[in-house]
Amino acid sequence: MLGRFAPSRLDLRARVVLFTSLIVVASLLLLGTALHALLAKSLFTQQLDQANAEVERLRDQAAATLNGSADISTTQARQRVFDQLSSGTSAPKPGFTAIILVGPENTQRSDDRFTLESIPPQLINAVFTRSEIAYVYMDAPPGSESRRTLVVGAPIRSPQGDYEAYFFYPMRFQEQTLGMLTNFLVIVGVGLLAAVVIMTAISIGRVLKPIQRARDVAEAIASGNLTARLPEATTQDDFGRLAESFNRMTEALAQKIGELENVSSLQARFVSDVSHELRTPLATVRMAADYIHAARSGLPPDAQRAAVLLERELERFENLLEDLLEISRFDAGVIALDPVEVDLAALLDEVVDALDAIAHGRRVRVTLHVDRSQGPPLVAADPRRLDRVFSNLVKNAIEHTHDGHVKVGVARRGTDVIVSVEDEGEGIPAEDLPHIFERFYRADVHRARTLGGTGLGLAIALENVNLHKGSVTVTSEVARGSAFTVVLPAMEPPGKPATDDDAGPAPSGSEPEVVVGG
Amino acid sequence: MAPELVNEVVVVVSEGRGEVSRFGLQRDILARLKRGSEVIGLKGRVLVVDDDPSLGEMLGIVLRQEGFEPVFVRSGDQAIAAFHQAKPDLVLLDLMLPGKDGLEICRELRLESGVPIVMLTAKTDTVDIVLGLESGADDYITKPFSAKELVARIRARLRRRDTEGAETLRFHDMEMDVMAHQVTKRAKPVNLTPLEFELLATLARRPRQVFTREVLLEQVWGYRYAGDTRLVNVHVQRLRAKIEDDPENPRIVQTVRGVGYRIGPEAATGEVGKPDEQAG
Repeated sequence: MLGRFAPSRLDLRARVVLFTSLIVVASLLLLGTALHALLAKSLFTQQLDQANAEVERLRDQAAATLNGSADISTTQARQRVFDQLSSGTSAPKPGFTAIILVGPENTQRSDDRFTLESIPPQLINAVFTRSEIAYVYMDAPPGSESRRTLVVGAPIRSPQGDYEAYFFYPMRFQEQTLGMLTNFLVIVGVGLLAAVVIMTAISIGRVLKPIQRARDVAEAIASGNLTARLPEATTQDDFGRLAESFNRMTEALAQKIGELENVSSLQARFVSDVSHELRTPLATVRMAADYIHAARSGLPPDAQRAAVLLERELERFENLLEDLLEISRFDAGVIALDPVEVDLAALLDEVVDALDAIAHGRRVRVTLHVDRSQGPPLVAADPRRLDRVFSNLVKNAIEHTHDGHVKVGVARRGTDVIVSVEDEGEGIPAEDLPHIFERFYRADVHRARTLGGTGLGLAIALENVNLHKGSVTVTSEVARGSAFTVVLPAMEPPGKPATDDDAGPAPSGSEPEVVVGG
Repeated sequence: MAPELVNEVVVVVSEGRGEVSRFGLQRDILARLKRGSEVIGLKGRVLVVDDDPSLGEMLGIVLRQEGFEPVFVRSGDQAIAAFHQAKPDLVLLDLMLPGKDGLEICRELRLESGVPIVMLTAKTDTVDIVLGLESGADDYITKPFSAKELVARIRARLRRRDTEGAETLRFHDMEMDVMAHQVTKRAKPVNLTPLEFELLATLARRPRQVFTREVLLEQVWGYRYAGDTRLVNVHVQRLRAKIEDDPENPRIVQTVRGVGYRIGPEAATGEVGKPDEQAG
């Protein structure tokens, strides 16, 4: 029973009750055994002492009888001794119930159930060989009045011959007494155990009640109810103080959480305000720069150059601002994903297409490999965010490759869709590899910023991938190239429910899987 | 074209535009005027509602350079009055304004006019843009924007693609007179903004063909590169609210999941339609 339950799986009350019961049972067993042993010992000793005394007396009488019967035959003498001895069995208070008298010629017994053969040989040996009074406990023969019996053997020595007499003392009284004691102990033990179980259960319940209340309140707090409190303490005991400090702790916790929420919403608000306040003047600057740039042919040469620089750097400034605001929104936790079904193969095709001009300019070949062997590469995502992630990765790959090959791959693997972007660029040194997703980290400070990254691209890519519950990893070998791998949870393709068959194929012919819905 | 004619056209079209589908000017005159305006590159009057003086001035420089006639108002409270006075062909509306905010102005303008509204927004948070579109703005442009982008957005909204000759589109219980910019449902006129009209006409010219959001962005909004597909989603909702019996369960403009929209076959309406639909 106990072995089937790990103790930790039982609740506290059951554990305490079980533990207490085990202790009670163990003590009762110990006590009972000791009591039993003590009583048994004293009972047995008493019987043995009486038996010894009686046997000694009877032996002396028998010896006297034999000495006084020198004139009669051996058989008569033996009969006389036997009668004398067996008269003890019918005495008002018989100690023994049967005797066996072993004479020089014959053996005589008072009760057929007790035979000489049933007596353990070592007793016979002791009495016969060593001629002393000895005893042994043995199982009583079937049908006797007790289970065990005490056998006392006494040698009777006389000139008329050597006799041995064996006296059988049944142990009925002792067994009855011990049986009663055992019954008594069992009854008292069971009663005591029941009482202990009930008392323990009740008192542990009383002790646990405040703790259970505290647990309920703690669970309520954990599930977001910061106003839950323990009832005011009515006593000044440990539980009273527990309630008090628990409530104080919850109060402090609620306050801190409130402050943090406030800070978070303040930051989100700040980002939104900065965004708005910066964008309006920037819009003016942008248009003014466009205007000057468009009209630069009428300007002196230095001013013309200034107009070009203004236009170009404004572009970088805008990109940087956008990236900063984006990363602030991630930090403020105000970005929520509103996912739709996205086919990454189509998305990557567009990404590669859009970067074709840049790649061509750097004599980089960009290829896209789509592996549909394990299903379509569908994900639940915000396509604009993923477009941004992969544009960034592919653009980086192109930027780092000269006259080489950028391989973009997408494949469904189990419950994931895996996108890989491999370049044949200069690679990233091992010491830089762990840092490249950090903000403004540049693997090579001397590297020409030909494509004008903001230093936030990979950090934002990482945030965007995390937002989609995906992961992005990188491996790189200097002078051989780098490989970025994005893993996104796949989305099961929808079934193909029947369409209205009178609809006919769409004239564009590009959408065979049409599902009409509200 | 003689310059005198151009001036006349400017006046008439400026007053009429945006009210066309409601009042239905004489269709042949209108068609001729519109065609004339396309040919001569008519630009039109733009009401700029923005509280930032520098941005306003810069917008003025850009708009005038492109041949538009800008009218300015700095406060949201004066926007409606200015609209009545100037009768612009297009409204450029900043969402964040002192006084009445942009969303409110948008809603009020839509109660009385279908004038093209392009929001200027400094916010990129999803909900703000969607709120603006739901309030009735046709398109939006996020600050900072370049002069080119701005002019492209304005031109796209002022451009009219007119078909040669009379064209009448019939589908379900609707009838569209494309030239007159008139729509009727069960012979009752339906008020659509020019944008909604164009969206419905685009779908209706090829019934049963599924249009992706991208295609609609290109054909109706004039985006050459990827635009914001939410523009399509929100305006389809607005269109449905005006033409569907039950906008929650649309029969005419149907969503084709994962693809786009189409004018659904009438058979579908007959099969699952309500019994009283034809009696209506």
